Amino acid sequence: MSDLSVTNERLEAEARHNGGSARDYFELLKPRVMSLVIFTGLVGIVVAPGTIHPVIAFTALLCIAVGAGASGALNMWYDADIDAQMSRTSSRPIPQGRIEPGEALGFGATLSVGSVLAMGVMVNWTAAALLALTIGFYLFVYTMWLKRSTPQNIVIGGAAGAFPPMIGWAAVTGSVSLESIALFLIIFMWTPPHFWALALYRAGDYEKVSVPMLPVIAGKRETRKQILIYSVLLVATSLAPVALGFAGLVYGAAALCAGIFFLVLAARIWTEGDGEKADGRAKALFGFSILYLFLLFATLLVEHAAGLKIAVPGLGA
Amino acid sequence: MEGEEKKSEGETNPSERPDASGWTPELYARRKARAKAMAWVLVAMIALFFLVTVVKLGGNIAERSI
Repeated sequence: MSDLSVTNERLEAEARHNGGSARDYFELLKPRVMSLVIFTGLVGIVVAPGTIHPVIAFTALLCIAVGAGASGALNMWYDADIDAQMSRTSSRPIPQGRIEPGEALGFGATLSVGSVLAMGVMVNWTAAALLALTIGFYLFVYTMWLKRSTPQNIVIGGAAGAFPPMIGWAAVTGSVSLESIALFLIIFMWTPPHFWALALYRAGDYEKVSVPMLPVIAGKRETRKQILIYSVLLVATSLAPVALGFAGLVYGAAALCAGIFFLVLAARIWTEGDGEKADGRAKALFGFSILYLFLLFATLLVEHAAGLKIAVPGLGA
Repeated sequence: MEGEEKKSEGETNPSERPDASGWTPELYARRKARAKAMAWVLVAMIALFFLVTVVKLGGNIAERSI
């Protein structure tokens, strides 16, 4: 190898390692995941009893967003090896060489500590503790431990994504209550059918990198069955806010209608088996699952913010 | 092989060539953009800390015993 090619390689390496743009760093925060986290956190704040100053509420949301983004950066740092081999994730900044793994680690760690401290000092320490738990759970329990070791990875790991409304609630009340646990459970039950629908048509990707997703380990038939079971549990859980009295008829009707449609899509996956349309049906459920969660929380938000709550007779206040 | 590398080096746009420290103008531009983004984040943080301080102090002043 000539001196010139050695120099070129060194320059290219430097270009890669010094060339991360602000956009690349923003991409490390998984902005699409962050948007759902911000939204569910906002609903937790709005639905919680009591009042909070708008500036403090904004600060709480910002801390939730930055904490969630930090988890994403740390996840990308740890999973850079498998991200590079999966088509869905190969264009991320680290596999593309635009950001060095160490930079992502430093970025994620700094934002994690900063968001938790800011939440504690400016909002309250209960919300800060829950935020720290969320980041720690996502990094240590899901990313480092469960993701590569068990097909139940996203079932248990899903808890990390379910905390934001609970954090929002705690930002207002300073405590954890049954109502905030109900919001947590909705996202917790939503995660398995959402990710397994994706895993059904991306099973090859996960198999290639030895991530034991359910379709890879237990097969697609078992995955379809589990999707249906968790969908039933999800729809039942989605009605908990009505039963606990902090959601009214409007939310109840929306949750029931959207839930029935969710069950229909899950049942279609089950009945289609491995047929020609299998991937299309899995994609349909994956796509609708995002809309479904948004719809549930948006209805809850509108019902509270616009004062549309009509109590269901015999339930709650 | 070496000849090809020299040829491709020769075809490089002069404005894209690295300087003595090995940095190209594009890298400098990206670093500047990163620094600008960081500056905006810091300014926003200062504003936020100031606002939160006013909100918290304001509440305490309103509730003070006279």
